[in-house]
Amino acid sequence: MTPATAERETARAASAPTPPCAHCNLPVPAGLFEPGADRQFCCEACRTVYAVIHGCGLERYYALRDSLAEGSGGPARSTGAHYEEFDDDAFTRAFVRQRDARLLSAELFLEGVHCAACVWLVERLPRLVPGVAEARLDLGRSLVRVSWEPSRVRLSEIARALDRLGYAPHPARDARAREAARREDRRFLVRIAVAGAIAGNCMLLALALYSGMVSGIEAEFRQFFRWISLGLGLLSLAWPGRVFFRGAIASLVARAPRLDLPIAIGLAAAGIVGVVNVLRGEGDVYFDALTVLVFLLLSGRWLQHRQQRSAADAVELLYSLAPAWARLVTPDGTSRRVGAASLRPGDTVEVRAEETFPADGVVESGRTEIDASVLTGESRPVAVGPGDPVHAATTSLSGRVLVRVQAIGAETRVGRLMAGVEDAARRRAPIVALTDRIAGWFVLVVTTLAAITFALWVRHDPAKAMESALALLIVTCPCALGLATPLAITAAVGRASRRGILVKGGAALEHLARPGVMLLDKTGTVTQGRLAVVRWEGDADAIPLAAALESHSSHPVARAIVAHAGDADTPSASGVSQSLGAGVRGTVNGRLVEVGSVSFVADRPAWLVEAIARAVADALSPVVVAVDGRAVALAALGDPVRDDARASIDTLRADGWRVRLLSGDHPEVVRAVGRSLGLDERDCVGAATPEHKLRVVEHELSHGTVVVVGDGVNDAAALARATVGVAVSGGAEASLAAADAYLRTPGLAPIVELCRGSRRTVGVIRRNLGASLAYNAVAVALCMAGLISSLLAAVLMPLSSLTVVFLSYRSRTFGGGT
Amino acid sequence: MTLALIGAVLAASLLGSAHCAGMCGAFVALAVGADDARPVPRSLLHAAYNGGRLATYLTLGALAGLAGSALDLGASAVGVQRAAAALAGTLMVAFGLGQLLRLRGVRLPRFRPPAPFQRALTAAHRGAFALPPVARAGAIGLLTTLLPCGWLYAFVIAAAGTGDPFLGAAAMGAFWLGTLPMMVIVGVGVRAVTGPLGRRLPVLMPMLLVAVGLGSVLGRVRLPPMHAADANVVGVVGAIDHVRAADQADLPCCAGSEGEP
Repeated sequence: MTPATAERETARAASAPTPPCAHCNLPVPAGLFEPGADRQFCCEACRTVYAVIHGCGLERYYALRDSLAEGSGGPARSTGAHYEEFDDDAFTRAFVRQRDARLLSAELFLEGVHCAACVWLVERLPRLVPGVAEARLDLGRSLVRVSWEPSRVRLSEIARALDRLGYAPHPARDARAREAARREDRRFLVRIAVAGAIAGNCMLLALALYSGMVSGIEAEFRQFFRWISLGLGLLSLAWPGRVFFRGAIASLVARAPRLDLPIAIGLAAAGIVGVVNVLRGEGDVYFDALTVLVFLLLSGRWLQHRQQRSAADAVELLYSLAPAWARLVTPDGTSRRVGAASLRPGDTVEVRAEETFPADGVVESGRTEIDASVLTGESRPVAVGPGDPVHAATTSLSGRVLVRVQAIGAETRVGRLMAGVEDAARRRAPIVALTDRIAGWFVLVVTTLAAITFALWVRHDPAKAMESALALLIVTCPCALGLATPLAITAAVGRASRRGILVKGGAALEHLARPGVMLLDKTGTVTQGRLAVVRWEGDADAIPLAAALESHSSHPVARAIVAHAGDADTPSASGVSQSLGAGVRGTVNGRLVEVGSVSFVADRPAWLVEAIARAVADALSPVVVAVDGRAVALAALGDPVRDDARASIDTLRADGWRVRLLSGDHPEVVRAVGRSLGLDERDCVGAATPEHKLRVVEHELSHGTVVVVGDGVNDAAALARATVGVAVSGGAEASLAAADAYLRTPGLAPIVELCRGSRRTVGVIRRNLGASLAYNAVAVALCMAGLISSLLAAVLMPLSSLTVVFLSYRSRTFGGGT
Repeated sequence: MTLALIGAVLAASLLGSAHCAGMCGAFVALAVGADDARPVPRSLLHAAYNGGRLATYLTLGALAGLAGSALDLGASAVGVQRAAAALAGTLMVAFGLGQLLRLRGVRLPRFRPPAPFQRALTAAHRGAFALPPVARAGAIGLLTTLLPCGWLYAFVIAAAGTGDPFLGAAAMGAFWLGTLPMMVIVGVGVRAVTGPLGRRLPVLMPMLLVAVGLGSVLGRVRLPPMHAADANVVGVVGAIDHVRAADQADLPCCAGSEGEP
């Protein structure tokens, strides 16, 4: 082929309408064009890479590439919002910080961030939007920190650019606290890594020294290795091991003995003896044991720390309940999206069906039914109309309403509830770990024994007196004690999580091991948390007719009736009309069918009146079905009790728990459920508002352990205030955040397993502590008798820790066994 | 002696590397994209990514050269000299012509990698993306060679044509060097990089292949012979012949000492 031919080819290729390659954007050769295919590729490699990129979920790469190449907005899945509210004063006050003289910065939560490619895309923001100085994305939390020059670009423009990339931004709260926690985590991990590396090297040196003892070693090598061990050991104490000394000093200052104190004493004693022996050129150095212990102890502490940390994130999740946006109705009658934070009392907002109210207020116009279960625990929808109050975080089910805003943010009912959760979490008595309680005594006993040992021996052999006293301090270094609890708890938490029980920390296990009062929320905990047809009285043939009518509605009553009909062939209904809060009417198979409240159907034969009375007595909601004007059936609707509830509650009571029902639902309903569970009427509290629940919990707290089991935001404050809060499956995020344990499997059986597993875990902890203390007692006796050589002490020291590790992981706490 | 071939590979690779930007741009982006946790110097990531590529390219080139030398060895046994170079050149020309025919709309059979390969490749990349930044960049670089890229494998064939593992590796090293500038500046979008060249690239690339292939076949790209005996020597057998011939010839370096014991 000659260049001339090629030129012609070029011309032909350029003139032909070749589509660009879906991957690399270069023209696709006509011979590779696939008619009818969605995407064209210029070569097989591009096809493969395209598949790989999609296979890895990195499609957004294309969006950014295009937008970069064309210098304008790309075609990513954007919401198309304008984000004017980001420029509001209220928004600026709440979320924007002055970074330096020139730059402002804000943290935004991005939707849809999931991989390193997203990091790459988002961090290209300074190139995309002039005026943006920096964009740093925290992948783990989907938070981007943007810095920009306000004179050149506005935040709303930045937000639009992010939105165009497919990452819809939302203002992020509490970002600073999270960042600090993350930095702390990282420092901790670095310390563990350093401790591990030092321990590994010290072990290698010790191996050489120990084998040298057996087979002989040149004195200068021996001394050289000892000096290096010394250096490494002191490094380990001074850097990663510093936390124990700092903790010990803090506990001395606070006069509250913690486990750090005896650990620091032991580590210091071992360090001093080691240094002295290296300088003397004889005796044993403990640096191998010492560095390993620092590593093990730090690891144990990290495990503990991890479990406790998740509890701190509680409150932030609560904010997710109320929407960040609202539709503000402008004077000309149209509505535009604004940040919920920028609403003012007196504003009017529009809330459409299936949307969540952004603020507390009063309905101005329109009618709807709201699902307030998130706040009240009430399982039945509530009809509201003009003049009725509505609350943020509740959901409009059926209609569109205009609401005059009365309170926003922290002033709303849900906001006050959040504050309650925060307050309750703060006021909860700090759990003093069992080991910390022991620590004070431990220090006292060990130092006393060391002094006694010294006093006993000093007259016979002053050198031996010093050695034995120090050996005692070293050998009793309560490392096993320090590991006993975190390891047993970590093992138990791990096992529990495999059983669908997520436990946030050891304290919860410790408390659940001792029976006390257990307050069960009704809706969703004891019951299934959704409306269902509990009883159908009358003509069963009417079921498909009613279901046909109700399939036109998403109302909970309608859903219950449709679910009751099951998979049976449902005829189709025509001319369906709904009267809000009353019922629904339509034609099915040529017959007029009506389904609705008692007052909705005029016909009321005697059997129906009796059936209604029975339903009301059982606290069920009666729904009448009429065909051609004649009442033919009655559906009694309620929230059915879970199958395992009775057996589980009986087991809990047999284990010593006092079980009470605490619900926001109607007292009659609560009592009816309680009756079916064999509970005393006094233990069934209904119509409990979140505030009321909190009072009940506080009252019970004065008597002892209180466990609250719940699933809604209405339970969140109670969950947080209780000794142990347990959130059950399907619960709102907020209650999960406020709780100490979360049960993934529905029903009450997991609660029984949680309590019993906790008891076994505490048993394991006690066993570990016992083993560790027994070991220490033996070692102390040997030391005092002057029988323990410092070498034996160095070997015994980590041995007790390893025993504890073994015992912890062998033990069966959750998932059967004893 | 095949320095010129290597030079030609370098030139072709440099000119055609816009294709690499288009195809591998995504991977470069992912490889050198900053991470949240640790800010890693961008240059380190580039080094890791391109180092990964270089490592596999060199391996591939050496293997291809080895295969070529085996081919030469076998072919010379039946009296054919420089078979690898001829075959490689022919293949490259054929490949280039095929591409040009495709541009004209001619439908030619094509190789499509089997689905399991595709899945394995996706899984491997997903694994690579999960690594910490520097390791990720290196791993993506290593995986690049597995992409069924005709352009890349045309040059692997050229490497085989050298009939020598070292020269094969050198040829692929040259190919790598040619792609390097583009792979480093990519990341601001392929269109911005390729500019007006982009539209002509589909024509340019096969022509480059044809040129390098023809050069390989006709032997014109080899350096002028430095020694008369070198002119016909390519491959192991040729080298052995050369050594044998040297026995009889006067060699400037050792003739003096060996001639008069």
